[in-house]
This record gives sequence, structure tokens and C-alpha cells, in this order.
Amino acid sequence: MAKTLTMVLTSGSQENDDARFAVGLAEAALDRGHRVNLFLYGNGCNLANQEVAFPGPLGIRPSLQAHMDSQRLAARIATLAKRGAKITTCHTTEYGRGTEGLPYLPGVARGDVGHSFTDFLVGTDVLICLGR
Amino acid sequence: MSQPPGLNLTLSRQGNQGYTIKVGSAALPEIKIDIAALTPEQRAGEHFGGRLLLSAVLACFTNTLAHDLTQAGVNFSTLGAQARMVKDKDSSLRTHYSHVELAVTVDADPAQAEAFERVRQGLLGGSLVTYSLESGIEFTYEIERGTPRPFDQAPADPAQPAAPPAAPAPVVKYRGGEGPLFLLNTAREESLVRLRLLGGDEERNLLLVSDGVYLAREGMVERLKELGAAKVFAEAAALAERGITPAPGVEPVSMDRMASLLLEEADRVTAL
Repeated sequence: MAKTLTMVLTSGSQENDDARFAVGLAEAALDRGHRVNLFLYGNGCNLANQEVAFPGPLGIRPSLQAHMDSQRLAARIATLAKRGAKITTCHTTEYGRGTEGLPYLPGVARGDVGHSFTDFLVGTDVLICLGR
Repeated sequence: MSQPPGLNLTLSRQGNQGYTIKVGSAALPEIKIDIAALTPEQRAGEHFGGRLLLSAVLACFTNTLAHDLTQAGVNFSTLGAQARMVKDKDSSLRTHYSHVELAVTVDADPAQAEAFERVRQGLLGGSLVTYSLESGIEFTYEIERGTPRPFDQAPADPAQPAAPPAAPAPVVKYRGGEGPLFLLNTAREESLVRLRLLGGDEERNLLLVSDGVYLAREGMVERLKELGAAKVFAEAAALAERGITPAPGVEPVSMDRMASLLLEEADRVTAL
């Protein structure tokens, strides 16, 4: 029977392994026919925005660049949304980081704890809060 | 006695060749389905009843929204919508459509945001068709103001509908107790303290992910066993990335198996 997995993610992609794990688990859950909600809270809200290419010289070695690129998750998050995952942010945590209003990845929506996250909880079978 | 107001459609079918629905609509007088033109694979993936149901949902809801926006004086030029429907089994183990997610985006004039919001709030109660279905199907509505974007999820070629999600492999309950499954993403001591407090006297099973896999090393697993862990799973990719060989008794698991553990096999899940 299809279930609904809700994950609260409080880290960005470069801080620790939580974001990578959350995205991988979301992909696997969708593959198995389940539903996925992802609430980007705290520093997790940094995953909501579109990437901006830096035009100048990067000043880092190719090996370091490759390592950093491998941890980026924007494309996989956009794909999750395309596949039906519901992904919302907490706009208050965005405001606190000065990112509120920046363009979202396709399929990511502005949200909050009182409404969008609560809506997630109402229909959730399994809730996982990934924090440190 | 006069009939209550309603709709009356008819269908005529020619064996397994096809059928025609007399819709009776001026815009769409009839729908003709040529079954004979389909390959067996296409027939298996048609789900035509479900598609017509979603078509009705989309048409009614967006027509109502467009009408209400116009009545409210909200200017817009384009509107995009997507409907997604999923199946489930009910308490009688009968398969039924259980949930519809309906998302609509309208390029409404930002200067009329207040009027748009009033209309949006009203439509969150559904339209005639969607409200009528709500007693049997749960609906989720999303109405946004913005430039409608192409919904990439829809199949590009109607002749090749997107394949439905593969059916999950049969669930195999893991052995090692019926207690909750605890998810640990760190190896910090306080997680183990919480494990002892929350686990109580029940048997418990552990799923170690990310930095939590450091607990899968020899010696640490003995500590977990002392804390009552009956079965210990560890994320295989996280073990490999950290160069950790798990101790005997730890079962490395893929992301697919973790989805199965958390959503299908465990009766209860607690993230520490």
C-alpha cells in the first residue's frame, strides 16, 4: 500500500550528509510507488533556490570543484518535484538568511510551518526529521 | 414526477473494436475510442476511465476558477493545470482511486492579488465535480499566481503514456523483533542516550545512515546490542564512502531497501 513519507531537512547540501540522504530516500520511495513530502527548514531552505553560475575564474582546483559539484542537489530536487514530490520551504527561515524572494527551483513552493508543513503532517504515514 | 436536473450520456460499443460516447456537449459532441488500433501494451497502459475522470476534474475545476476570477475582475491570460491521481486499497482490499492532487497556476495580475486570494480561498473547497468526488477520493488543491509552466510530468507523446510506477516488491518483514525502527544519522553519544530513553523495554531495531554508520564498527555494535538493538541495518553507500567494514551482525542496505524498511517493513519509525 502506498504511504506518504514526510521529511524535514534542516541542512544544506554542503554541511553534512543529511541532504544527500533525504534526496536519495525520496527517490527510492517514489521508485517504490510511495508519496513524498519534503519540508526545507532552517539551512535546508538553501536547497530551494535556483543555482547561479559564477562567471569569473573559480580559483579552486578541478578536483575540489568536482567534489563540490558532486554534492550539489538542485537538479535532483527539481526532478523529485517533477516526479510528484511536494517540496516546500519555511519562508521565515529564508527571510532570516536573506534568501526570501530568490527564484525557486521548478516545483518548489514557498511555505511555512503553520500551513504547508501542517498540511504535510495531516497526510503523513512516516515522518523523519533530519537534523544535527 | 419530473427528473432532477442532471446529465445523460450514452455509449455504444462494437465488441472489442471500440466504442463511442455521445457526450451531448456542443464543444465535444462525442468521444470515439478505437481499441483495435492499440497494441496490447498500449491497451494495458491506457487507464482510460481514470484519464477521463481526471479530464473532468481538470475541466470543471479550471472552468470554475476562470469564471470566478472573471467575476471578481481579476485579469489573466493563461492558466495551466495538472492533475495526478493515485490508487490504494481500501479496508475491503478493493483497489480504488484514493487521492487526486490538482495544481493550477494562473498568470493573474499581481496588482489584483487581494481579489485573486479571495477566489483562491473559495476554490480550495472544490468545484462541482471535485466536491462531488470528495466523499470517495481525497483531493489536494494548489492554486498559484504566476506564469503557467509546462508540466513536465505529463507524457510528451500521447501515444506513449508514461508507465505507471512499478509495483513495489513484496514486503518481507525483517527478523529481529517487532519493536520500533530507530533511524540514527549521527554517532553522537546523546543519540544513544535517547535510544535508551525512547526504546523503553521494547525490542528495537536500528537503521544507521550517514555519519550514523560509524556505530556499525566492531566494538560499537556491542554497545548497541547492550542498548537492546535486536537488528542493526547500515546504509551501504555511507559505509563505503567512509571506508568502514561493518561488524558481524550488521546488515548493509541499499537506498531501495531503506525505503522498504521505513515505509513498508517497520511498524513504527523514530528518527533520533
